[in-house]
Amino acid sequence: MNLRNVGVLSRFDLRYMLRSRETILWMFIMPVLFMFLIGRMTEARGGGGVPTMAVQDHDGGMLAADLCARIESLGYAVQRVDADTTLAKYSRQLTIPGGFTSGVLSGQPQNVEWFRKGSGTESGALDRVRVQRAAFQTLTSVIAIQSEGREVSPATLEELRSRPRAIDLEVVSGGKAFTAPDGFQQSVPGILVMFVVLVLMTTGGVHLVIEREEGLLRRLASTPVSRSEIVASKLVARILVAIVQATFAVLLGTFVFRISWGGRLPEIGLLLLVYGVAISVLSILFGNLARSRGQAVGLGVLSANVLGALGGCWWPIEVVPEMMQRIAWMLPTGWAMYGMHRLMNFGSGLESILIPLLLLSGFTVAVFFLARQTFRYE
Amino acid sequence: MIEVENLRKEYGSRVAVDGISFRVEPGQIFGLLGPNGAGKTTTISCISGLIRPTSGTLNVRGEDMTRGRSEARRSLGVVPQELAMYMEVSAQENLQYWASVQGLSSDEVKRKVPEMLERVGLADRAKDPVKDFSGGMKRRLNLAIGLVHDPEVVLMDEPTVGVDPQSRGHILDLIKERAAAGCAILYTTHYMGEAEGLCDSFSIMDHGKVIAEGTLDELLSQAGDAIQRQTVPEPSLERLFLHLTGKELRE
Repeated sequence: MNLRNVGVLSRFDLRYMLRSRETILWMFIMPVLFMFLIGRMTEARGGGGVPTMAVQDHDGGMLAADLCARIESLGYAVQRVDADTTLAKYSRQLTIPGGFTSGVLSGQPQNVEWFRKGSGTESGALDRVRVQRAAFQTLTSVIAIQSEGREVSPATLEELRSRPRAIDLEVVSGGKAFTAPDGFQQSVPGILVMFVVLVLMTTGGVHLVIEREEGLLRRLASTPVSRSEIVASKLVARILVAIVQATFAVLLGTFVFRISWGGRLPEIGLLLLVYGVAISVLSILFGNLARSRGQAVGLGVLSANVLGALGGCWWPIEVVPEMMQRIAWMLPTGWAMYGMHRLMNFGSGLESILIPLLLLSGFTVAVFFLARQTFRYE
Repeated sequence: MIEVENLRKEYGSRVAVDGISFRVEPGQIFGLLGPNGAGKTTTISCISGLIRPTSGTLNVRGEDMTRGRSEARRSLGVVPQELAMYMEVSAQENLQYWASVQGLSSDEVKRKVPEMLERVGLADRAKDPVKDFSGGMKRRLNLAIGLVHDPEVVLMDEPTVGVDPQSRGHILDLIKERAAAGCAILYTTHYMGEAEGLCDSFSIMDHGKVIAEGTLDELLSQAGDAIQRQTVPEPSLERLFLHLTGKELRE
């Protein structure tokens, strides 16, 4: 194989593909939009960042302040609001009645109102437990200070909050916590993986069809370039497109969406490279099989959506039924997403992506064989 | 320079080319004529390496063209019937690409491409996308792509289809110029007047077979009275062609 020929052909092919406005749109603009929209939609499920608790404090006393401090210490950002209309904008709401501090200190029952949109969900139940816990801690503080014969004051409450606990319960999990990623942590890798399929299948596949329809491949057949060199150059150009797209998405995820790559960028790079090669080979096979430009675009869009949805690009595969998870294990998008989740979210290392890498490599070899066999000049 | 011996190409039970033979010498323009479906394009496709013949020998500059990528391909230029070029990129980029594919070094590409653009009258439009060109300009660029690497053997499949007389004249002048420089040219066309003025000798094909061959004078004398009687005021290649291949329409 003459590498010079492969270089000449692949450079031109890459430039030709990147010149197309459609390619630019689908490589650099649509992924940003999809990452943002899907990230925002899945973030509303309850994940991502510190949850905000809106508090309307009609009391303004020291026990109301202590209750808020306790809530903050349980992992919430307390947002104090003045009006009911403002309060209603938040999904987590707490109303402390007027006279709360004096009422508690005089031993009268007080009603603190807690409201959570979606309180029936798992995270809603967790909120309820935490708010109750904060209320109990405030009441316990009052009892503890009074039992020591001291006066309940902001200073004594503060001192008690900062005092080391007499009993600590240390909880250690029996294994790694496999919380399904959400928000941008899911949408950025998901859209990256799906759009590599979409761009390579449409742009990569369509360009091959155009070259065949317009007699460019027939013309190439009369040159000193061999069939293997042509197929190899088409593959190299498409791999370069995948690298450009993946690099763009990683930069976007890092600097715009501020997601965590789990400290595993080299392993993620390796996984994406092997995945990009697999999809590049698949796009050549699609280009060989498609009979027209319309068919190539249609098949490309259809396959990208099916592979994306079933492979776990749209939503975390960990939350779908077991049967759907098994289907994902049959698809290259599923292998890539499995590896991405392991590396980014579950604290795993290179060993966790060996099976996906092996599957993607086997897929590449099998499809390359088919692509080479089905490649045709006309 | 081009030697075709008993070339045969079958597609299943259909015989596209049935044992044809001819020879094109350096400096010669050889007209391969025939109605649609006669087997001309199949013959050119076999010589250019696009399809493998069923049997027969195909030698270009003494090298067997049926054995993979021979070195002879570097000296082979093909001007296909279709406009095989990248429409979204400029004429200059198209020529640079095809010149590189033909094996020219980057220095040669830098030298040859402007020369060729000048020669086909596209120098002032070199940087424009080809999609904006007229039909004649695209035909001239199609020709330039086939000639940019100075091939010693050129296969031309109807290179003047649908062009205006000016572009046609330009293209034919360039072909004659190449032949005068020693290039062996295999030329197919449906314009008999064009072939008559351009080609030194001919093979006329029909149904995959060569039904007549020789120079124009030889062909006309072979036809004898049959063509002479129909010829008013004088015999021509077009009349001879119709006499040999009939007047019925072909697909």
